[in-house]
Amino acid sequence: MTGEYNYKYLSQEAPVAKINYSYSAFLGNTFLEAWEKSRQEVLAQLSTDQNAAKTTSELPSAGLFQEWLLQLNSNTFKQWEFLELLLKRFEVTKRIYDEYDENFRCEDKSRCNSIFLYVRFAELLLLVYQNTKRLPFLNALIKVNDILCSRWVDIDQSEHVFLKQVLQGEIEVVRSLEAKLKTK
Amino acid sequence: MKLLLLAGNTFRARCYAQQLVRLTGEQIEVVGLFYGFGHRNAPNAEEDIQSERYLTQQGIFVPNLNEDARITFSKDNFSYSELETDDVNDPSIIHAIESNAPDITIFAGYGGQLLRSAHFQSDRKYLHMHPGKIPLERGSTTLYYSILNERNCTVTAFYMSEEIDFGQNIVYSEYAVPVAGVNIDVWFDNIIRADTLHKAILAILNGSGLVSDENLKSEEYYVIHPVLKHLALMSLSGYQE
Repeated sequence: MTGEYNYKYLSQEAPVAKINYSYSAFLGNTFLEAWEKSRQEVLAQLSTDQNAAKTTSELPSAGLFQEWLLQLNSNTFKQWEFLELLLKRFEVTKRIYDEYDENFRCEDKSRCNSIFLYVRFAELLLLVYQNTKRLPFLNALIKVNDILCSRWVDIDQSEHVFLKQVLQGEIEVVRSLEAKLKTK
Repeated sequence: MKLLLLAGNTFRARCYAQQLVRLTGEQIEVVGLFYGFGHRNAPNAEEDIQSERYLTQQGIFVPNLNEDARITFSKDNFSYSELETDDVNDPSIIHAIESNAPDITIFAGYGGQLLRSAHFQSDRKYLHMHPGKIPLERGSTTLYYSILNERNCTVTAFYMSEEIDFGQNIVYSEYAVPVAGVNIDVWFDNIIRADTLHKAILAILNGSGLVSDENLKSEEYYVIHPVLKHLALMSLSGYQE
């Protein structure tokens, strides 16, 4: 195909407006190159300061995600039912909320713009996929990263090192899956 | 056995209708309940010789995707009724199903439509063909995930319950992953589901239905991201950039 294809799964209105993934056209390697370029363009603009720290927050979701990350990293995580439920909620709403009830339904639909929470969620998804190769987690990771690449300017510089990790991690696992499929 | 085809104006409904016609001679009566035809644009499939040839070579019956289900039924003197609503949960549809009193209702609704609890108040059987091995491959766009997981493509025929992609499994029907160039969304998906419908009805008539694999984990999949869809399609045998 001639001409440059612009990766169209970014939106400055996200996450308030959902990005629509249905009925996507097939464009071959041109599409994959555009997707990777969308990540590299953000990566090139992120701070290289390595002394960053995760956002300190009283938001319930922040505490929950950080606790889960610690448990996953120490192989003590057992709340798969809740993580899978959160995954389902995200896939339906395309949003991460500041707070959830016990059924992972949001307490307030307007509170979905704490973008650093999407970085935390992406970290969770990447870690789970790397450990389990369960595709629903990779699928959601790419969608979360679409939101992060759309709204990266709203992420505090202290979080850039973590955003860099999830974007580079996404590229690595997608290309690794691509290579694995080509050798079958 | 009385079968009711509950169908919208979709490619899948057309495929199911033509498979049901092929069952003429078996001990079945087939009636149709078609809904929403006036509300939705009739889908039109472009000619696709590659997809047609591939499926035929696999020994799979290839329906005419552009033959309206009403015409299929009329040609074979199958009776049908039409309802104006395009909402599968409209009371008029529930009432019409009750009036027909089928042994099995075969569901081929519009994309995204889910049967609500009113359909499950009696002990009616609703047969659905899901393009994934239940419970391992539940949810959406599962054929692509089968390809990415390096599994064959499986269609599960099952009696529905209120829970999505969960019920009494009747038949697992496995199909080789198609080669590059075969249209998966319109041709492969709908035609293998219709092929499985044929097998499921025969299994039910023979009393050999109900399969399960209790060792299978359950995994739910969501609308596939285009990046992963591209990986799946670009991995197909014969793909060239």
